[in-house]
Amino acid sequence: MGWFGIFVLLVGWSIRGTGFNAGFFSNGRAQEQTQRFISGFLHPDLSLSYLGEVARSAVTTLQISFAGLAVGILIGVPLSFLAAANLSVNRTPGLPRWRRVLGLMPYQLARNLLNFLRAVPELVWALVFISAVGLGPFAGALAIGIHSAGLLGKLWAEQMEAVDDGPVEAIRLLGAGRTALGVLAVFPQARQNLLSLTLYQWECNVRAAAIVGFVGAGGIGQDLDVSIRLFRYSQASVLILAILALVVFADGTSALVRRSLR
Amino acid sequence: MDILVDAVTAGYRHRGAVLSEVTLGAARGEQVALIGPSGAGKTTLFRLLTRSLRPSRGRVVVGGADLGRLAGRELRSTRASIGVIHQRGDLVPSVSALANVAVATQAGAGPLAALRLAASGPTRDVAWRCREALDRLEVGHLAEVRVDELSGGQRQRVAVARLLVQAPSVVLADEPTASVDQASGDLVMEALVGLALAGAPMVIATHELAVARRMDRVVALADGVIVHNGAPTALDSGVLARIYMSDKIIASDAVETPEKAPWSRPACR
Repeated sequence: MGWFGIFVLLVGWSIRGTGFNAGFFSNGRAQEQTQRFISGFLHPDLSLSYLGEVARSAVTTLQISFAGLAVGILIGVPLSFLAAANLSVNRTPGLPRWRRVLGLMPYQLARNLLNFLRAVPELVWALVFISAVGLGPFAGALAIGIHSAGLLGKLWAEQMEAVDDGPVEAIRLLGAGRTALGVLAVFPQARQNLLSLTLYQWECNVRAAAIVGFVGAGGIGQDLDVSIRLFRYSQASVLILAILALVVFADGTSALVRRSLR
Repeated sequence: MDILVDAVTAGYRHRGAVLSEVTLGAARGEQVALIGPSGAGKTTLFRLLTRSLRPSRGRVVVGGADLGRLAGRELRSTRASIGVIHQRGDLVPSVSALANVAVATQAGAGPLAALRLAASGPTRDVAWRCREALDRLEVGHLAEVRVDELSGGQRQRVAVARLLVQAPSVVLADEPTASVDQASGDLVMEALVGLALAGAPMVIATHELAVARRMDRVVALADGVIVHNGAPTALDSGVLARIYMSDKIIASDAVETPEKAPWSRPACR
């Protein structure tokens, strides 16, 4: 059996497992439901009062994304300095084994913590924080912040590890400790990329802020969830367009800031 | 003796011993040239002198401190007194020449000083000292220019300006003039010799015999052992042949040695 055979088997196995049914849409009731859905979407609720509500939710979503980014920076950036081998690991050849192992501990701890923070999806973090602090945007900001910390920390650490080692060693030989090395040798070399990564993380946060609302963590996602559950497709249509506008706004703003930083 | 390498054997895990039983010293103000073919162990010796490498046997003493016994703050403070200059300068490319030089004043001064320098730049007093050093190397007009916009020779001059601001009590120079033009090389050597004349022992690794001949003493390494340690005048063709074996390019340098370099000792006094 070749690769194609394996692929066909995998597809068959998945179709069976998910109850995938292409004939579903030929069913009369399903067609009616789909038509209602599409007609609702084609007639968005553009009343001023509703648009005002959507704008308020969109602003909340943006606030969740910013607050999440702030939490991510606050936790992720210090961890990234520990998780960058060129800043946190003493690589002097000839060190006794026990000192090498001991010296690796902060690095390993920071790396594993970052892996854990980022491995758990925002939605799961949102469920955790909703049970801790209740429904609403605060839980959303915390969820996105914790996940962002994991991502930002790892990306920053890798970016900092990739800088030219020559200037880092030169400044180490001037008597610099870890903080001095980080801010005087590593950060200036990686600054452009680090800022770019942070902006990208904010873009991701805007998308994530719309999604965490589905489990009750506030913002536009929460409104979308409610309107779909109540079959208010004309409102759902406006909310989906608003999410699209938010994402486009985030992409555009981020590109603009990146250009101005060059 | 301000620098003492005492019966040192050192190497790397996957390469074995690079230096065997090497003993070498440099007194206050003494200028020592370190010569030898590539792979002879010159860079390894420099790494030992900055505690970037630990010896497997023997000890390395700089300014009275046994580097093998130092750790943490003590090690950082000893390193701050050792001035190191490499062939390519090793400056932070994305910041200005002035910012690179200012690093020498704050790098060893603790995390708060480093954060302050990174956030708000050098104080007026520090900036003035840095500009003075840059002026001395004739790159004062480039103080605000980013290092990645400078030529190789200009970068090396900025690196030496950083060394001047550091005001080290020991100078280690690893081929400082190898990749720069004659004018830059002369300025670099003039500044380094100036530091030595002020009392800092200087060890300079070089492939240029013209540079080696201007030092007080020449130490030659070959295959990890010292094969020559004496006055530059003793560097005759027989000695050079022993050091470099069949390395004709280097040996021919000896013939082309200029009589007098602008940075030679009498000119600096």
